[in-house]
Amino acid sequence: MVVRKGRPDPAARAGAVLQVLAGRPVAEICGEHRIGEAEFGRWREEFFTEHGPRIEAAISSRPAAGRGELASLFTVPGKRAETLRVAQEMIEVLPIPVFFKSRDGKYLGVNKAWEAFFGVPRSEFVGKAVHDLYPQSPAVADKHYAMDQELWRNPGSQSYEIPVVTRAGHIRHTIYYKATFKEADGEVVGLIGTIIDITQRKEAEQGQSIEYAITRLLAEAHTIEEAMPVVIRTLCEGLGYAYGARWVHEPKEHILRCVESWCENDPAVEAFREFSTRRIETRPESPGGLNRRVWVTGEPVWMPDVTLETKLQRSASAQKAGLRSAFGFPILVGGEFYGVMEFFAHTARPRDERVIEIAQTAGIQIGQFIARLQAEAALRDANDELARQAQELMRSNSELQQFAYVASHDLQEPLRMISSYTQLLLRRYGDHFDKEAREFMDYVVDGAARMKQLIEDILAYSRVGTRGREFKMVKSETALKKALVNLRAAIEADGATVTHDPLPEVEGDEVQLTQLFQNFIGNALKFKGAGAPRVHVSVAEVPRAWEFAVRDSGIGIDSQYFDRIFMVFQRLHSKGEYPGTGIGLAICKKVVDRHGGRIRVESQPGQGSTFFFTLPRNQGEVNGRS
Amino acid sequence: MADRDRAAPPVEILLVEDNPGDVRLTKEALKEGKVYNNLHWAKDGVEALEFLKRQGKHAKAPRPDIILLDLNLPKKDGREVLALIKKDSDLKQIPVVVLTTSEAEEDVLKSYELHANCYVTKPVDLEKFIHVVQSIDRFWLTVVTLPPNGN
Repeated sequence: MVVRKGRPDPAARAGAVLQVLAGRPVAEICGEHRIGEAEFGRWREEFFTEHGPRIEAAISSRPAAGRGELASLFTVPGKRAETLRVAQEMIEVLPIPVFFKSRDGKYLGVNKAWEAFFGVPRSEFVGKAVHDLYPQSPAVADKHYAMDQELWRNPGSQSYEIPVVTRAGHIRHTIYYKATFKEADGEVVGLIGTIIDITQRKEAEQGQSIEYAITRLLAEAHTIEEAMPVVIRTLCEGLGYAYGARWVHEPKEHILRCVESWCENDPAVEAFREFSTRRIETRPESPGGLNRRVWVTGEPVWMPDVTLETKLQRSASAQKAGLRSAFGFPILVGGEFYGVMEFFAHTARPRDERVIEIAQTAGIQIGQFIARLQAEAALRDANDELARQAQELMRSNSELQQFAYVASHDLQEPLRMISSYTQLLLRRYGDHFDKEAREFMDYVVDGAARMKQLIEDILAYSRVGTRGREFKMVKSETALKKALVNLRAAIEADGATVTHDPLPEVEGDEVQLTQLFQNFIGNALKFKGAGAPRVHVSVAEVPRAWEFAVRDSGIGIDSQYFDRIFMVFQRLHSKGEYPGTGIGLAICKKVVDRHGGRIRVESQPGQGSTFFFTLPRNQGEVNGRS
Repeated sequence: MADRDRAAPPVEILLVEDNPGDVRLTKEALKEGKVYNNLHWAKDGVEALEFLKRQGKHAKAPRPDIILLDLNLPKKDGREVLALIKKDSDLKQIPVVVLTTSEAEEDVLKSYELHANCYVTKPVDLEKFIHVVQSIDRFWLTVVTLPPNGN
């Protein structure tokens, strides 16, 4: 009701909105008595309205349907009244919620934004005190009341943070700003207030703090079992859930088993937790309760009210524990279903995408954590396997060395016996042998000599790997010159010319590099074409390596043999044509392999051959050197 | 230097060698040489040491002027025998020629580390073998002046 001046009852100060007064019965505004004593006409009245303090208004009344009806109402022209009118209109259209309270703590009025914010019409506020408005949340009402009292004691302004619940049941985080207002005589007669909705910021902070807490927990944990109980608790407490659990899929048995759970300190919920986590979920034909539905659909499942869930087997026991809503979401590891996280809360909750998003983010973090652990375990296994193989390699290498030694000593000894005593026979009794016997003896001696050569060659071949020296910076020109010194006799005998470009310094085993040049040039001399042999050694830069080329003027090689010539004991010619066991290029290949390079040949029969080999410019980049 | 007089006492050679074929070859080679010698044979490392220390059946063994030592021997191998000889203040003066099939670098190095007087690889070829044995013979027994034998 609009209250006329002089009425002492402050409770009667609540009333209708000024603007809607027009057209309503005068009696409703001014009281029956006024109709009786006043003729229809115009007069002045002073009101309190929900929009503010006293308003001076001019009333014009005329008869209608036998009753006095308010024809028009307007504020009296004047500075104060005009200010008030403008203020009221402004407040009404302000996009932020605003309210007025009288000195006794009752709502005088609210604006449109306020109605919209709470989803409650203003008629339900006006004339009510906070304790009438929040019967379900005495703590909220107490807080508002206490803050009002504080403001009456110390007039001025104040602000405080408080969560409020809208008609739809949503919790909004707000900051209340309130200030007192005074009469002209300085008496504090009421307060005006507004609220700022900080729900979004609050929720983002909450989401971030949950995400951060889980990130930290997972980063510090070494096992999933260590991390999960605290992760579940963090999610429960952060999102307002009383119980949470992790279920893991066991592919062999095709079941879901609860591995960790947490619940608040409440015997009833504890009982539900025990009942719930003892169960084993088997995969249903069709989506079933909570975590089985998550399992089958691979999607989050939200249950606003478990009393409505006919397929939830735990519905009755949840209700017994005072649990009303639930949700669950899947954990995927590397895209594969791994398990389910489920949560139960005391209150019924409409589907909340924000909660689902926070939970999903946590689910992704957990999935990545598990994937990381699995990758680490796989890496450990691989490392163990590698270590085992390295050990095996060392063992087989040392066996090979042993073999080389055995070959060098024990195989040669019987060979020496055969060869020496055959020779001794020839020496002492040669005169008694006929021509045929001598020929046979020659074959024995020759066979023993070739056998010895083979043994020595295979030894030399095996020693490339087992007797190699540490790599050092070597002038490849020095290695070439040493090879030429070793070959001097043959070079002079054949009248060969060996030329070379300036050669670089390389990292490698000088003895083996010398052997490399020696074998290539030795071959060039051995397989010489018509005329004096010519050999030229050049080098080119290729990405990350030097490519050496040894070009000769020899007989050349048919391209079908390009691969074969680098294999052990592979020969292209009979012993009668060219001597040798066929080890030289195999040793070259092994030396180049050991240096992390590549070897190849370009040749045409009759056109000479060019052997190419690369040596890495930086040996540090080469793996697996032996 | 002139060949030693036949009237002079024979040179005592200890051949430590497990292969009878090699022993015989060595004997044949020495036979063709010009040095008057007594070749004693120890078939393994243990026997070599018994000979040198005049133990057991070698109680009356002469002190050798030179030792030809194979490396790979049964019971106690040539490296151990070499080490023991060169640690023994009495025996270490006797020149030890390592005569072995092995061309392995580590055997050569190891032998010299153990103070072998020289290292010779047995050639496969008979002619060369005879030449080597005779070279040893000639060098160590006619060219080199050895410490007085305490026999």
